[in-house]
Amino acid sequence: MMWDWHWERFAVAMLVGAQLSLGGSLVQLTTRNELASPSTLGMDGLAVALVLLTFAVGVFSPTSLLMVVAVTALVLGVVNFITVSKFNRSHDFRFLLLLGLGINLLVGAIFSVMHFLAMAFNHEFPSQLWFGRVTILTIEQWVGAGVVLVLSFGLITYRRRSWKALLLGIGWCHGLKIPVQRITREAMMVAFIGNLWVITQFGAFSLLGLLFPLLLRQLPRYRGEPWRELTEGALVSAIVFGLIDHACYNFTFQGAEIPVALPLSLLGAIGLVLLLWRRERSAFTWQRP
Amino acid sequence: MLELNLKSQLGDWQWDVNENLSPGVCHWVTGPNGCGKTTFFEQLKVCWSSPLALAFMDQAPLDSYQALTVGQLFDVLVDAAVDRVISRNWRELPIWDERSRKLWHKNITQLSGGEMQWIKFLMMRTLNAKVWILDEPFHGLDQSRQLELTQLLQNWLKEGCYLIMAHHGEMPIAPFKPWRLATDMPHRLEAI
Repeated sequence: MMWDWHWERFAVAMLVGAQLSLGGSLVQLTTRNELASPSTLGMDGLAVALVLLTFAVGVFSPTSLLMVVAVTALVLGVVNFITVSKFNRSHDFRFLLLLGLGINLLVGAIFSVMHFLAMAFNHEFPSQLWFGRVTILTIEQWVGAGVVLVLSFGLITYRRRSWKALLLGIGWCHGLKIPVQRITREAMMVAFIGNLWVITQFGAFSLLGLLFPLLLRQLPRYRGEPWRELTEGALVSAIVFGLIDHACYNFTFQGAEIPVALPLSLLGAIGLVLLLWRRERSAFTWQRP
Repeated sequence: MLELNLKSQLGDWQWDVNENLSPGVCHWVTGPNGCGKTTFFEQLKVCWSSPLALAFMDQAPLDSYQALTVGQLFDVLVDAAVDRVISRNWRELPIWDERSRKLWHKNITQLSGGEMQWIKFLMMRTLNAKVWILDEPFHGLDQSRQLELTQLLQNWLKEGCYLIMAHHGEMPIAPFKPWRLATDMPHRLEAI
């Protein structure tokens, strides 16, 4: 079998991989919590809910003013809730995680009910939303992708001197005159917008936003080096994602293309279990000086 | 002289502090548990507007989610603070005695309470700050470390630094200017 190389598709897949990795890294860095990601904070669920709403109402087009207003309100509302809320502290952070889990479960339930009703009444339904699949973009969609990319890397570059200080915690950031709350708000906004773009264009990619940064930091090269994680790490994630997507593109199953989210979820879930197992084993092992 | 103005409100708590701080004097915030010393410091930290470089040591544990070692944490500190550190070559600073050096390779999540407090203090010492705010700095330290810290604080004062500190008991630091936090609502800082 010949390996059919499709550069445009590889570029799109790299963009998706980079956005997932960046979103996870930004959220984990600003909340200083390795369990935080756009997925676990419920941003995935809200993005899927938005697509479902668009589908159910059927009158919005992605470019309509109402849609723009709805998306803006959603992004600002969620970002403001997370950053200003008293729960955005390490000891209360579990509340935000549980809330995110609740939102994801609720949207999952709504998705199932709508899917069932669509099948019962023989209507179309965007069931592929749960299994993200990379597709070729139109010119307008490329423009949207470019905007998201510029926004993400613009923020990362603009705040490049502050990322490392965030590792020290809020107290030290204040001492070093780093506007930690403003940076948190900006990072959350960029992560949410990137996540919205991925889900509305291609569907959900499970917990990859959580896993990419966690897996990257298994390498000492990225531990304690947030700038490297946000730039080089995002590129590495993008290439890995692009290659796996290309494998899915080339090796079909019964003539159907395997959505890239399926093997990635499988690999990611195994990776997460192994990671937790390793962490659990080393948790009580005293490190020798 | 450093003018300290803090007008702030948080729920029922309010602060209206207008004080002139003198260099070389330990300003001591004191009061019983729950009177709002830490909250006052949190407000002070957020509202700090003086151009003088501030170093703040709170009671929160070192919480880097990346589980860094002490050495990696100091690397991060000198990179993040850039021109605010005494020396980029932090390992050569005289603050590192043999006992502290043994902590370099230890994960910060595995430090004991006293070790963490000492490391936080060493982090502050690495910064070239003029104003030091310390919330219960002696908490968890053993006798010898307490003595060492007291001597270092006295040296800072001799260098003309501004020092604001919270502590419960009597500390052998002189001269000091005690403040008291009134316990009746609304909470208010009073100089006595």
